[in-house]
Order: sequence, then C-alpha cells, then structure tokens
Amino acid sequence: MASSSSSLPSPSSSSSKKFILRSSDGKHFEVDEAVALQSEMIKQMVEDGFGGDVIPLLNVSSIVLSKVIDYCKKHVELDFKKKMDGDNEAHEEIKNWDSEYINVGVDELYHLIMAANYLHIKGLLDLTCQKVADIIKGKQPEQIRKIFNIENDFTPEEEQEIRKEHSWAFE
Amino acid sequence: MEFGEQDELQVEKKRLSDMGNVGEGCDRISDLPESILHHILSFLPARYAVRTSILSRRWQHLWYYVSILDFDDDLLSDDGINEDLKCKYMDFVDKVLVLHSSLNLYRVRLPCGDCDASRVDTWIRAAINREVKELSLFISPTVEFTLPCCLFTCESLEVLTLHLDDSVLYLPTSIFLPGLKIVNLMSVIFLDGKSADEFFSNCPALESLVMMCCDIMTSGFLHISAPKLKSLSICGGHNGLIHSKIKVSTPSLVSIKYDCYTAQDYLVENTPNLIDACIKLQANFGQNTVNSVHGYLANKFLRQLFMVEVLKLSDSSIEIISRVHDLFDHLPTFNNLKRLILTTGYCKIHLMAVTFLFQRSPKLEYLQIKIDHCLHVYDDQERWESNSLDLLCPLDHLKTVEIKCFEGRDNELELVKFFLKNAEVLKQITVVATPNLSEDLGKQMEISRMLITFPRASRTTLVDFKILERGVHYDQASVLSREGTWEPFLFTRRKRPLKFVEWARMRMRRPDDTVLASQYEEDRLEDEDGKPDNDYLLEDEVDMLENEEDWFEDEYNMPDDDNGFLEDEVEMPGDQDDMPENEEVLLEEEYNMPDNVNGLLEDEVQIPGYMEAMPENEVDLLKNEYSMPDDNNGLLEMPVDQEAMPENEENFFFGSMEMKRT
Repeated sequence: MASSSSSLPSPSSSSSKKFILRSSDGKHFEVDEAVALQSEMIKQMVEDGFGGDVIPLLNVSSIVLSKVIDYCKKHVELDFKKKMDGDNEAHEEIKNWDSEYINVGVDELYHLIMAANYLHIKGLLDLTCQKVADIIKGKQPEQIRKIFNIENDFTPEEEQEIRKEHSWAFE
Repeated sequence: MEFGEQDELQVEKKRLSDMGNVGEGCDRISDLPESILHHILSFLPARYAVRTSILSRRWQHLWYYVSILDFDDDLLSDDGINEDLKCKYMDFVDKVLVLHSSLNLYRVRLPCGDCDASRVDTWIRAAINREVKELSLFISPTVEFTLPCCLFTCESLEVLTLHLDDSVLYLPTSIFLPGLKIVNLMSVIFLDGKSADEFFSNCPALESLVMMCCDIMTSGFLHISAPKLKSLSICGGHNGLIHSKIKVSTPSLVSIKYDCYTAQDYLVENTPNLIDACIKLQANFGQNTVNSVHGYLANKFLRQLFMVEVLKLSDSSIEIISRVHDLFDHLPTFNNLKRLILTTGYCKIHLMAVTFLFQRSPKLEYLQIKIDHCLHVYDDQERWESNSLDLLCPLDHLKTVEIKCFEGRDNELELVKFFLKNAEVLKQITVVATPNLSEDLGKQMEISRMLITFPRASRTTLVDFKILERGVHYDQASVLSREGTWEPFLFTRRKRPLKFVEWARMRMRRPDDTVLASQYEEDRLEDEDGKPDNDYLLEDEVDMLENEEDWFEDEYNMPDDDNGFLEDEVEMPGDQDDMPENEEVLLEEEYNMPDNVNGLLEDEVQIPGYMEAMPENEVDLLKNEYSMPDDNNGLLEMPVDQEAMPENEENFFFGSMEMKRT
C-alpha cells in the first residue's frame, strides 16, 4: 500500500523531502513534502517539530488515507501546472478531475469528509461538502432521507408544522 | 416544482448502492459534526438549506447557523412570480434573515425584485446588523426606492454587488465604507457625476470596481477616484455613458477594461501603475454615427494609456482610432508595451492603424492578430496591400507572433512574410487558419509551401501552421476568437459552447533548425468552456464505450476530393437522422473516436491515398496522422516513423493532424 516515490514528475521533487504518514491501521505511506503539507494539520505538526520520522494519523484508515493522498498529490501537481500554464486551463482540469474523484458512495464520502476535516485540507473538505449539498439540492425530504438513511423522528403533526412555517422552502 | 423525480432517485440510489453504500441502515451524514453540517448547508440555496429542517430533529435547527444565505432561486424567474409565491418568498426571507438573527453573516445574495420596499429595507438592515461581509442585491423597484442609509456606512461590508435594473441610485449625504474592497454595479443610474464621485471616493479600501450598463442622468464628468483602486471595468449599456465624460484618477490602478460606446471625453490621470488595458470601443457603424470626433476622442483615450505593458484592442476600437486623418501623429508611443493583442478587420485602413501601432511599440515582444473577415466588406481596392507593410517598424524585441483566422490571402501571407523578414529575434510565428481552409487541401499545401519558403531574419524561427478544423464554423470561429480576446461578459449568455475544436496541425521546420516544435498551448482560449456535446452522441455507438459519460462522439470531415485523398473512410454506423440539426456543420464522413480520461486513440487512421496524391516538389513528404490529445492539456503527437520518410536535405515537413477536444 505504501505509495509513491516513483509518482508524478513532481514539482516538489527538487526539495524531494519525504514524509511518512502512518494510518490508524498501521500502514505507512511515504509522500513528498508538498503533498503532505496540503494538510494544515500536518503542516502545523511539522512547524511544531513533529515532522521528524513517522507522522501518526490516528483517525484515518489506510483506505481513506490513500484516497486522500491521491487528492493531495493531484492538487500539488495541478497547482504547479496552474503556475506554469495559466489559470484557465488548469482550472478546467482541476474541475474535471475533482468531479471524477468525488464520484463516490455515501459511506466513502463520509470518511473523506471526516478525514479532510481532521487533516484540515480545505479544498477536500469543500469538495466533499459540496458533493453532499449537490445530492441534497432539488430533492424532496423523503428522497434525501432514503439516500442518507436518515430516520424521520418527527410526528406527522410536527412535520406539518415545519412545512407550514417555511412554505416557500417546500414549494 | 421538483427536479427530483422518482426514477432519478432510483438512478441515484442505484449508483450509490453500486458503490457498496446506501441501504446499510446507517445514517452517516447525520453523524457528522455540526460545524461540517453547517458547512454543507452553506453550499445550498437558502430554500434547500431550510428544507433540510424537516429531515429529522437533528437537522431541524441546523440552518440557523449557516452564515451564507443565497436566496436566489429557480422559482424566481426573470419575469417575476405570482403574488402568492411572492408572499411566500417575502415571508421566507423575513423569517430566515430577520427573525433568526443570531449569527453574523458572511455572504448574502438577495434578489428583491419588486418586493415591498419596506420589507426590502428591513432585509438589508437585518443583513447589515448581522455584519454581512459580502452582499449582493438585485432590486427592480417599481417606485422610487432609496436604499437604507446604514448600507453606506456599513463597516463590515467588503463586497457589494448592486443590480438596480436601470433605476436611480439615491445616495445619502453620509457615505463611508471603510472595508469595501469590491464593488460591482449593474444597471445602476447615478443622479450625476458628483454623486458617483462621492460614492467611490468614500470607499478608501476599494480595489476593484465593475460598472456594467451603468449611466449617469445628467451629462458631465463621471469621476472615478479611489486611492487604492487596482482594477476598473466599464462595460456595456445601450447608450451607456455616451453622453458622459469619464475622468479616472486612481494612483493604484493596474488594469483597465473599457467595453462601451465612446464617451464625450476621457481624462485618465495619475495612473502611473497602469499595466493592462483592454479597450473595446463600441460603435454603431451601421448608422454612420462614427466620425472623426470619435476618432480623436479614442486616440486621446489611448494617449492617456501610454504606460501600459499589455494592450488589447478590438476591431471596432481600431476602426474608430483609424477615423482620423493624421493617425500617426495622434497615437502615443507605447514605450512599455510588451504584449499587443489585436482583433482587426480586413481593410486597408486597419492595416495602417496596425502598422502605426507596431511603430509606436518599440519594446513589443508578443503580438497576436486576429483577422476578422466578417466585420466589414470592402471592395478589393480597400483591402490590405502588400507594399503598405514596408514601413519601418522596429521589431527588435518581437519574439512571438500569432495570427488567427488566417485565410491564406495574399495580404495575409504578406503579413507573415513581413514578420519573418524583419523580426530578428522572432522565435515562433503561429498561423491559425479558419475552418474554411480545412476543406481545401490544395490551398493548405500551397500556404505551407509558401510559409516555409519565406526568407527569415532568424534561422531559428519556428513556423507553426494550424488549421481550425470542421466542427467549428467560420462564424463561430470568429465568435470564439472574439471571446478569446475579451473575457466573457458577465451576465451575458454565451453562445452554445462549441464542443469540439479540431485542429489539423502542420508543422514545418528546417532540418538544421534545432528548435523543436513544442506543444503550443495558447490556443486553449478557444476551448474555454468546452464540454462534451450530448447533441452529438449517437446511440449506436454505445458498444464502443464503457461509460456513456466517458465519451463523446467526434466527427471529422476530410475532403473527398478529386485527389482521392481519402480512400479509407471510417463509416459511422450512426443514423444520420439522429444528428442534431446544424446548418453550419454538415456531417458527411465521420470518424468516431471514443474519448476517455487518458484517451489515446488506439488505432491510427491511415490515409493511404494521401501520399500518392501529393505533388512532387520540394515539399517531399507529408505524413498524416490522427491522434487524440490525452487530456485537456495539450496536443499530443503520435510518433512519426522517421525512417519511412525519404531523405531530403532541403526541406521536409510532416503534418500531423490532431484532434482536440474542447
């Protein structure tokens, strides 16, 4: 599972400093510094002097972590490209890549949100939350409940009351 | 009024459950921390955010704590809504914005339309009280309407977008907006120039100002002065500012964009930091309203922009500045100008203006010319003349030239010849032909041949000849190139985006040149909003594809001419009747290519007839290949079998035809 020195022709390869991240289930991932520092949390740890050998990430499983690393790697690469090629082009590519990347099921989405939140990766957090919002948008409450398995704990009277209060919202 | 139909839900559920989720009986989303749920709701329009309150008790009050409220809504149409809905909308905004006023707001987007003025007033006050940072208001008052005074003394406000639907902005006597950095005004009418001046000059932090379709009621100076203003954009309008004089006095200004009719006068002063100017003077040529007065004014405007490093001029701007008798004396010398981007018509008078611009731009490094053939139809005498280029233009610094919408006419070729002959440090000249030329292989060959035989001041100059392929019609190409030059107009519907721009590219180099054709990216501007075009999907082709979303059909027309150019045609099984109606693009032969993420085309389409059909001459060899770009990034070349090419010490070129997805 350990990923990656042979990865992309990395923009950060000049620095070529590596970090080892340890997932909650004990797997090790070696990543470039620039990739690791996409996480504000890791950045903070490094600044506080914990960047030495292995960085333990207690809340992130190896499956999720590898997916998160994919995101970070790609964005390091694309950020670099953006600098080189100009905004428009990279922007389009980021958009396409992101929408492909986030095309996941609800469970995975949940884990990615939690990981992004824990690791403080703003871009990933926005992407995942936007995805949930996109699923919710335009749907009737009953549909949303089904998709997310949300249990309706209102009585019909209470529900009616809420509908009445914000009739615009239920048009 | 729901989009979410039952079957859509089924699809969604199926998709999600295919991934091993849904139906596990476990409500993950509600388990998320509240802060994250607030974050999720902030991505939703207010109506949908509030609607989640009914999901369960966990969700009931979550939306109270969302700091981004976007009331814009698909239920609010441009034509207004019926009274019943309007009442519901107003009650909704009341409750969401006013009653639950616990939390500070970050951003509010509030369409007010012709809602009751008193309620609109209340809403704006509520937003201000909640210390909103970014406020967008769309108001279409039926009676005279005054915005609440507190809006103009709001300390928290950083971004203000105001759309007044051509009504007057009445300003209070006291204005002070210390935090306001970005102001976008659309269809706002100022009472007079003085009130506009008072508004802007009391925004000490203002960095960016967009005035779109704005006007002032009285004639006189529209004075824009703000100490920190970096970016100014004045755009559009039916008559926008046609009776006004414009005075810009902004010491920090870096970028100016003017896309508007010629005003009565221009006074740009105190702008030492101005770098980038984009001037698109509009004119109503049809009614002969453009005369030398406009010409002199336009030249005056340009003279005041003498310090810029980047200048973009539209065809109509060039037309207007040309309307003076002694143009050369009126143009300034652009001593700092490095990049000049022009769209120009096809007539002699334009060429004069263009050559004068070259002469007045001694430091020019990059030049882009788009030739607009549609603009005016002059008779042949008025067209460019070959010898009129023999002016002394100092092209000492010119490194890159791009000529777009090239039709291969003599005078256009002269233009290329001129650059090749005179620009001593020229590294690359890119000639992009119109799609018309894609039909005409003979013409392509002729142009290619001429291009490589032109004498060059620099041995290392690379000539890159590209042909805009079928799929983009002439007019569309012209539209595209205009859009490429000018940023898309805010709030203006763009034409249906073109889905494919196919490029045939022929590269020429001399064998002794060390410069290799590099991937050339600039043409991306044609591709900005490309998306697979579902109109072009052909059902019958599904078996080629794994995923309907992952492909799109690509059609590629080769001329089937007497040369027998195309012997192998790849037949499209698709029913022609399924094709979208498109008067402009006739689909006769099509190559259907799957596109996927890494999508290299697996099979090369060989065109065996091609080689024999080539005329024997110094251009000995032409090899054609089809390749697909691997992604949006760039052209990808298929390997060329060098050994298969006859040796020719003089010249060879190979063309590789590539298709590019937009």
